[in-house]
Parts: sequence; structure tokens; C-alpha cells
Amino acid sequence: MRLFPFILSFFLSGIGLESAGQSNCSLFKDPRCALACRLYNASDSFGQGTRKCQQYLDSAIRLCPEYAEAWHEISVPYLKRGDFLNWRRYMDKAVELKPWLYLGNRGWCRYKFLKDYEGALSDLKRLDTLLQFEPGPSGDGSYDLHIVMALCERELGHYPEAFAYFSKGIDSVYDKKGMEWIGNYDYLHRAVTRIRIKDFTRALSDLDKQIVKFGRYAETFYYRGIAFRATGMEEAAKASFEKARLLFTKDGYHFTDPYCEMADAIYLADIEKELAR
Amino acid sequence: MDPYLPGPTVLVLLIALLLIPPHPVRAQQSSLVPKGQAEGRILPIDSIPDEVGDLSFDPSRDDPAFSVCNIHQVLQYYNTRSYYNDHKKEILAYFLNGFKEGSDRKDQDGYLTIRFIINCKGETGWFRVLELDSSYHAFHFLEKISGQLLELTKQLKGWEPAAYKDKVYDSYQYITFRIRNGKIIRFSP
Repeated sequence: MRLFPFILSFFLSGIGLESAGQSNCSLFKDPRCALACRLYNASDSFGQGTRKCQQYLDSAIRLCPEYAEAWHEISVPYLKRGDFLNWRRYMDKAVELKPWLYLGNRGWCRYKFLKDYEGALSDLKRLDTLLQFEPGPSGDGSYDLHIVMALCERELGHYPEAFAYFSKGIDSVYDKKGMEWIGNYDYLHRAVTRIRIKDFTRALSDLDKQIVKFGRYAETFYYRGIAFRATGMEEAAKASFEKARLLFTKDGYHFTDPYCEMADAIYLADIEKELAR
Repeated sequence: MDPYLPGPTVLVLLIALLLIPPHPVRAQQSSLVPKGQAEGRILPIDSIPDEVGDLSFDPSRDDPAFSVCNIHQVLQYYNTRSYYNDHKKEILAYFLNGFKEGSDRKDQDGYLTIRFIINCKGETGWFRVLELDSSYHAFHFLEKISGQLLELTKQLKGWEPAAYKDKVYDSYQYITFRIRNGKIIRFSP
């Protein structure tokens, strides 16, 4: 390894301009890890999942096996492309090295990409304890992880546990920080959970709050229609389904995600079916 | 300078790759490379395809009548709006209606993923099956499960090619079946 200082100096002179600068490599004391950091930054010059990008990250890992960020980054294209075996092999190493940083990400990915509700909960509960019950946001920033935990519990049929996590992710956040810190989908998910246990009054209350938070999702009015119809308010239900159709097809939004179907997302056919009743 | 051309940095990187021992994880990096190439062997990182997850024609299992319009530009399903995302409800109903469960499958737990290409004409081919147990370890489902899901996927028609700005493209798609006791309990993505 006598060539190492030469390689190091060559790398340091060549990579600087290519670096996207995501990480501050001067924080690394070990020169091999500082070099790995620069490779990690330089990998950003290539498309995610390309051979060159993976080569840079692979080299970073080999230079600095304790570099959790590189283990995580090399795992991502495997996840997005359905190769969960290799995703876990890399991701697990990132989690092993920095559980406080990657347990939440792994749990969220298990929820989102694999609907592995049991596994996601296992990761997120561990993180919740580790971070003293402030697990932070999901990997894409869409959710407080307490909401993801609530959705996992709900899908497993554990409704009391689901509501306990909804309360942490919604009510506690509202009390501490205000409405602007509530997620864009949170009230709707809790409303759907209440509909599942036939608590239509509280479901409608949550849907009202969802409209205050953001009132242009077709889902909000679709589920409002479901709750109205279940409580015998047929005219209100029809008006709500009509509004859902309008928002879905013309001047609103519905739940979409480029990677995976979102929880509680609806299709136009769902609205049409209710309107045809 | 074109950033995609190999420069001195890459050349030195390759020297470094020769000097640094391979990491054990690469020995297990096998799932999307042709069968037999990866199992039990260390794969040099250079041997991975141009892109993670790329598929290529295998005459031993692929229909020679299926062709990709432009092998150099196969999109991922998430690069554009995909047919799957917009028609998931019908696709899942198709699998649930077509899949025949058995009573002798109590130990059949895990994830079965089928990855394939939808070409620019909306035809599908180059199907690959990836199988994991519920702890994410390599696993082989009974042929009556994996073979059945593979056949159903091959027979599923009506796909539309990925489109962007009025132009159609080949694209990769995958479907993952969560199986418990031999029954399909969830789908993703």
C-alpha cells in the first residue's frame, strides 16, 4: 500500500471541481475516509444507479468501511428498482453504523416500497426510543414518522395503537408548533382510520380539519362522501362525491407518488362507483 | 469537459480498485445478473450492468420474438407516469382472480418480485424473478407459486409504453407480491 499517498494526492487534486459538495470532507480525520468522502461527493456527477456512480460509492466503502452515508447511497437504486435483497445488504450496514440516522429511513422504505408493516414498525419503534420519542420526518419529508407508525399499526389491525401514534403525530405537533407543522395528508389518514372503525362523527371532524389544512385533494371529499352516506346524509354524500370527481379530473389533486401507491389514494373508478349507487 | 468521459480521476480510481480488497457484500450481489454468473462468486464492481437493474436478453429463457426498441434508453417506471400506477386496481384484481392458492403452502412466506421490460410498443418481455423470505434472505418459493405468478405476469396484456413529451420509450417495471402461507396478501409498488 506504498502507493496510497500517491493515489490520495492524485484524487485530491482531481476531484475537487467535480464534487457536488454534499458532505464536508474536512471533518474526517482519517485520510482514507476523507478520500472516501470526496469520492462520495464526486459520485453525484453521475446518474443514480449508473455503473460509474456505483463504482465511486463502492470505492468509498472500500476505503472507509465505516462510512455509513456511502453504504446508504449505494443501496438506493436497488430499492427503487425492486432488488430488495441487495438494497438490504447495503442498507443494513448503514443502519448498523449509524442507527440514529438510517433506522428511520429503512423503516420508512419498508413501509413505502414493501408494505412490510411489521418490519417498518420494528425499525421505527427502535428509532423512536433511540431518539427519545422524536423520530423526525420520513425520508421524503412527507410525514412525521409517528404518522407512518400509525399507518403501519392500522394496516395490521391494531387500531388503539394507530390512534396513539396519530395523536403523537398530529395533536402533539399541533399543540407544540401549530397547524403549519401538521403534514399535508395526516388528518385524512386519521379520518380514514376512523371510518374503518365506523367512528364517522370524528372522521368528519378530521376531514373538516383536512379541508382547512389543504382542501383540494379529491380523497378528502371522497371519504367525506363515504362518511356522509354511512350516516344517512345522502344528499351531502352525493355533493361530496361530485366535488371529489371535479377535483380528481379538473381543478384539484389526488394522492400520487412516482414510486408507490400512497396510503388511502383513490382512483376515478372509486368515485364513479359511489356516484352510480 | 464531458463529465461522462473517463478522466484521470477514473483511471486512478480503477488502480485503487485493484489495490483495495473487495468488500464481502459484493460477493452476494447477484439478483439481476444472469443466473449462474453470480452465485457464490465475487463480482467485480465493473461487472455490474450499465445501470443497476438492467436486464439483457437470455436465449435460454426469453422469447426471441420480443425486442426492445432502444436498449440504450430504457426508462425506469418512476421516470414518467406509468401504466402500472394508473391501472394498479385492475392489475391487482387480475392477479387475485387468476392466482390459485393451495392448502399445502404454510411455509411459503416472503416477497416475490417480477421485473420486466415494457417495450415502446406496449409488449412485455425479459421477465426475471427475485425471491426473498420475510427476513429479506434469498429464498425459493415453490414452483407452483413462482411459476404461476410468472405466467400470469407474462399473460397480462394491455400495457402501454412509457411516454414523455409525445414520444414513447421502453421502460422497466416490477411487481412485488407479499406472500404469506402461500397467499398473496399485499402488492407493491
